[in-house]
Amino acid sequence: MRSRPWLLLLPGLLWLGAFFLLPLAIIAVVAVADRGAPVAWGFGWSAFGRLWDPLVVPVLWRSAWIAAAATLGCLAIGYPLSYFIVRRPKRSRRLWYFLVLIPLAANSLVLLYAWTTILRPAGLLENLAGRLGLLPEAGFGLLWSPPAIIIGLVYWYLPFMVYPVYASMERFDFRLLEAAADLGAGVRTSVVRVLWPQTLPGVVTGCLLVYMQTFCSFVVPDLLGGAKTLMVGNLIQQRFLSLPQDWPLGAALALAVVAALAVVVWISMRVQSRLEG
Amino acid sequence: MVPAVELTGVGKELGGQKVVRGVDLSIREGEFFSLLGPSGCGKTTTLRLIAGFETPDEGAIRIRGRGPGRRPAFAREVNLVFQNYALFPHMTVWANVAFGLEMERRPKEEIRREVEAILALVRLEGLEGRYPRQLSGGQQQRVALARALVTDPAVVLLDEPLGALDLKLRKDMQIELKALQRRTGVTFIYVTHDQEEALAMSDRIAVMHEGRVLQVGTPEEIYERPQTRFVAHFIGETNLLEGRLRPGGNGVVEVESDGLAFAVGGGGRSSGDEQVILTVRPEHLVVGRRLNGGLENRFAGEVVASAYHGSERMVHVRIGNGVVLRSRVPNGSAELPDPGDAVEVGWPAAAARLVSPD
Ligand SMILES: Nc1ncnc2c1ncn2[C@@H]1O[C@H](COP(=O)(O)OP(=O)(O)OP(=O)(O)O)[C@@H](O)[C@H]1O
Ligand SMILES: [Mg+2]
Repeated sequence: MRSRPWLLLLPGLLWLGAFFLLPLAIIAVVAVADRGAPVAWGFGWSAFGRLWDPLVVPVLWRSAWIAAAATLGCLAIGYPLSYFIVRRPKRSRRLWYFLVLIPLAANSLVLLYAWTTILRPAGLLENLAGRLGLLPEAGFGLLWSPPAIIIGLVYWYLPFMVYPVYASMERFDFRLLEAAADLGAGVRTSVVRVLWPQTLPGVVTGCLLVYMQTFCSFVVPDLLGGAKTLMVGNLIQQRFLSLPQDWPLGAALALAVVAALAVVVWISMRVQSRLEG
Repeated sequence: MVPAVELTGVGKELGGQKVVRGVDLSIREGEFFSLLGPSGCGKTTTLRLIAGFETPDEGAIRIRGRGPGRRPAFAREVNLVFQNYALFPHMTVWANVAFGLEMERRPKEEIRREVEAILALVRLEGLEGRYPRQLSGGQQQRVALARALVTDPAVVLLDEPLGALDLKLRKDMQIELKALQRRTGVTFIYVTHDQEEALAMSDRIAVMHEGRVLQVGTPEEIYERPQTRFVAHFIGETNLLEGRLRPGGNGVVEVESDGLAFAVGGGGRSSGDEQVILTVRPEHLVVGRRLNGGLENRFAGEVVASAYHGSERMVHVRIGNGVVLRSRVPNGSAELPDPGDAVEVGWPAAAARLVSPD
C-alpha cells in the first residue's frame, strides 16, 4: 500500500485555508476595491496611499510603542513572577502556577471594566492617593490615556509572557546558579550572566506573543483609551463599522499590520535559531 | 598548624530527617581527603555544608580557622566541583574558566594569563572556544576542575567528579587528579562511594554511614585496621564472625562461636562486653589439603564454590559451624581446590581483628 503522509496534513491545511488564507484573500480583494460600504469592486492601490494619511500614521506609531511598552511591562512582571513560581517546592509549584495564572487567564471584560473604576478620575486609585496626600491638583488623568491602555494590556496579556518564560525556567538547571554563587557571583550577576541567557528563548517567545497581540488589540484601548487614544485595531474596526466608512483603507491597514508582524516573527525566529545554535 | 577545614559536632536535618549527625573532621592543609560511604549516607550534604550552601543546625565549620561570618557561600575560599559539573552551557570553555576571576574583578591581562596557565595544567589548550556540549565527558570534567582551581581557593570540594565517566577513563582521571592535586598543593575534599578510588587516591579517608563518620585514617589504617563492622565490610572484602570473648594466654584472645574457637592477636577493640565481632581479610586465609603448622587458626572444611577473578580466585570454604569463609588465592599457586574437596583453611591470629558492631 502506498502511504500518503500528506493526508495527515489535510486537517491542518483545511484549517489554515478556511481561517487564515481565505479571510486574507478577502481582505486583499477589499483593499484594492474602489470604495467601501457599499463596496465598489475594482482594482487600485489608492487605499495603500491613504496609509500615509496624517490621521493614520500617528495611530500606527502609537500602536507600536504602546505594544512595546506593554511587552516590557509583561516581561518586568512575568519574569520575576515565573522565577518565583519555579523556585517553590515541587509539590506547591503547580498550585502557585494556577493561583497566579487562573485569574489572569480567566480575564474578562468585567475585569477590564473594574480597571476603569480604579483608574478613572476620582476612582479608587485617585481616592487612595488623595488620602495619602500624593494626588496632584489635576489628578492623575490616567484613564483615557496611553498609560491606562498599557496597564490594561499588561494585565490582560501577562499569561502569554509567563507560559513560555516559566517553561524555559523549568528546564533551567538551578545548580548553575549555585555554581555561579560558589565562584563569587552575587544574585544580580548570576541572574544576568547565567539565568537570563539560558531563558532567553522563552523570553523571545513571550515577547513575540505579547507584542503581536497587544499591537492589534482593540478591546483594551477601546475601554481604557477612549476616542483620543486609538490603536490600529480600533482604526481598522472604525473604518469598517463607523462613519466615515472606508473598507479599502481598513483592509489595507490590516494587510500592513499582518506584513509588519510577519517581519517581526521572521526576525525573532532568526534570533531564536541563533540562540539555540 | 591551623587545619584547612574543621568541623566540630556538625549536624544537619533535611526534610525532617537527620542527614548529618555529630560530624567531627579536621582536614589538613594540602591534604587529599576523601569522604567515603554508600549512597545516601550524607556525603553530598556534608560537602554542601562546607561549601556554605547549607548552614549546620548544630556545630561549627571553620575554614582556615575562620567561621563563615556574614559572607555568603564562603564565596572565595572554597570552590565546589559539582556532581555533574554544572558548567555554564552558554559559555565557552574560556568564559567558564574565567568566570570566577571576573567575579573577583581581576585585571584583564591577569585573567588571560591565569586562564591560559590553568588550561595548560589540565591539558585543555586549543579547546578554549568550544562550548561544554562540544566536549567529551573527560574534557568537561577538566573544565570543571579548571574553573574551580583558577581562583586559587584554599579548598576544592569534589562531589563524585568521576562518577559519570566510563571505567577506563575513570582510572586515567584518578591518576591525573591526584597528580594535579600534588602539583598545586591545594586541599582536596573528595566525595566518592567507590572504595577502590578512595584507597588509591587519598591521603586520608573518612568513612561515613547514615550521617556519621565511623572512622578517619590513612588508606592502610582503614583497610588493615577497621574499627567497626561497617568499615571492615564496606572497604574491600572480609570475613565477619560473631562470637563470645574468652580470655586466652600471651596477648591472644579467643572468640568462641558455635563450638569453634578463633584466636585473635591483632588487637583492636577489647572492651568488656562479651559479644564481639571479628574480621579477617580473605587474602590472609590460606587453603590447602594439609596446612603446615604455625597458624593459630586451622579448621577442616569443604570447598563450596570457587570463583575466577582473573588474577586471583575466590575460594569459599564451609567450616564446622556452617559458616562459609572466603579465601583469596592468587592464580598460579600450586594447588587449586575444586568444589567438594575436603580442605583445611587457616590464618594467623595477628591477621584477625575485633571490631565494634556499628
Ligand atoms: N533537600 C533535601 N531534602 C530532604 N532530604 C534530603 C535532601 N537532600 C538530601 N536528602 C536526604 O539526605 C540523605 C543524604 O543525602 P546526600 O545527598 O548527602 O547523600 P550522598 O551520600 O551524597 O549520596 P549519593 O552517593 O547517592 O550522592 C539522603 O537520604 C537524602 O534522601
Ligand atoms: Mg551525593
